[in-house]
Amino acid sequence: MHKQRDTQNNIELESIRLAKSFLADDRNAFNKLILLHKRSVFNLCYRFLGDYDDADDCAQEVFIKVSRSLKSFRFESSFSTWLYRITVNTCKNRLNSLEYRLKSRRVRIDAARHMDNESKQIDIEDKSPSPATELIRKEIDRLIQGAINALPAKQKLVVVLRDIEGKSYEEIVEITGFKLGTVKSKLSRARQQLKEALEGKI
Amino acid sequence: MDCRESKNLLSEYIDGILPETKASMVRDHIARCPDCLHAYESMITIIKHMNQMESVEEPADFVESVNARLEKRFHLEGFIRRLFLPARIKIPLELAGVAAAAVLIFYFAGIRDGQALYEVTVSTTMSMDTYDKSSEVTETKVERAAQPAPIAMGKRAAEKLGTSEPRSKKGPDKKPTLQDVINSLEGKVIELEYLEGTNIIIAMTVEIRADRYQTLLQELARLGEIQTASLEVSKDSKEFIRVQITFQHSGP
Repeated sequence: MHKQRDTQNNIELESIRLAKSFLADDRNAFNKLILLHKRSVFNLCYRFLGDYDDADDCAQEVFIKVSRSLKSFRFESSFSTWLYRITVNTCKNRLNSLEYRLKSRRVRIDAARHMDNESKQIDIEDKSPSPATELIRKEIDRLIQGAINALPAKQKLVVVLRDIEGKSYEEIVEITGFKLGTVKSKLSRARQQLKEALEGKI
Repeated sequence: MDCRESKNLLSEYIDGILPETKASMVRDHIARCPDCLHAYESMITIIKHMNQMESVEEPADFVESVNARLEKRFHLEGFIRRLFLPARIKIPLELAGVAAAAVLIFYFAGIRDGQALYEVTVSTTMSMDTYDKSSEVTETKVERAAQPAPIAMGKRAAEKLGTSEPRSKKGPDKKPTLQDVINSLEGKVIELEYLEGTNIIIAMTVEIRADRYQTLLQELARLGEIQTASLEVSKDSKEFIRVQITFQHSGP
């Protein structure tokens, strides 16, 4: 747990350093900033939108917005929280757009690929899961994503931030701008709905 | 505590954020009620699964894609800066005492899904008589997407005026109309706006290919006086751009 906290702190410090370099006209620093955060931004978009291509487009848009509004970022607050806020708003806009609503929802089965589990716990004994385990795991992920897709936007947002991204209630308040009471009630409803949708399936 | 209440508090109970009095009520209820115990266990299972969901990998060319979009943007921002520069030193027509109209050209760049992503304003001047009112276009749709950004014509412009010679118009050859110009560029007029209750055109929107934009500006310069920086639109871009030309009466 401490290790994870330290990693987060390091990412935060490095982000601030890179952001400042970028503001001092170092274009390369911005690329490093993208490299540092692309995975989390992309995943948040994907979990929220439920579509791989939309997530790609949306995540790109997030970084373009970042490059544009970094000038107005006050370095007093957390960079990651600020980045998440931009991501959430970009996703919300996307969900609200007519184009998106008209589009049929779908989940890409092949989307859940492997990644380097740097920030995740590494279980040495179980480093190479059997293909069968892997398949079951993917199927579970797919079912969960499908159930998340069916949630109303606010519930979806809160449950993704809390249960997939592991954010604290306070962080969710800061990212979404919802009141604490709203976060609690939306999360409770989202979890109940997911439970009903997935009970007996996973 | 009944089942309904217990179920409503489960989420907060699992996260350990309930005050102790309520938490113990939930705990007691779950211990006695098999249904609620089952609900509690199911919820924990699902939360655990969500905690362990695998990250999805972004496309391998993600950084390049962002950069390609940024490149376009940086290019346009430089472009915007160059455009606004001459606007600041534009000679106010009323001071020049020429019966002419100021023309504002709006350049909508990077049109995507029919929506303009960026907007640029160029200022130029043009004699009013160069536009043929009897043009064939009769569309009267009045719908303006964007209002012109005010162009500074302050003190500096007035100072400049003292040293500026009025530019001589091009030779005696007959000037083409704006419509001619647009036709010759294979562009089309998509919107005309008239001053209310008159047949005086106050704005027109045309659509041309980006690679024709330079030529359009050159042609506009032939119509009247034009003061603008050279514009850098990718010469091989086949993308369509929209140019909104607004006539503003500034003479007496």
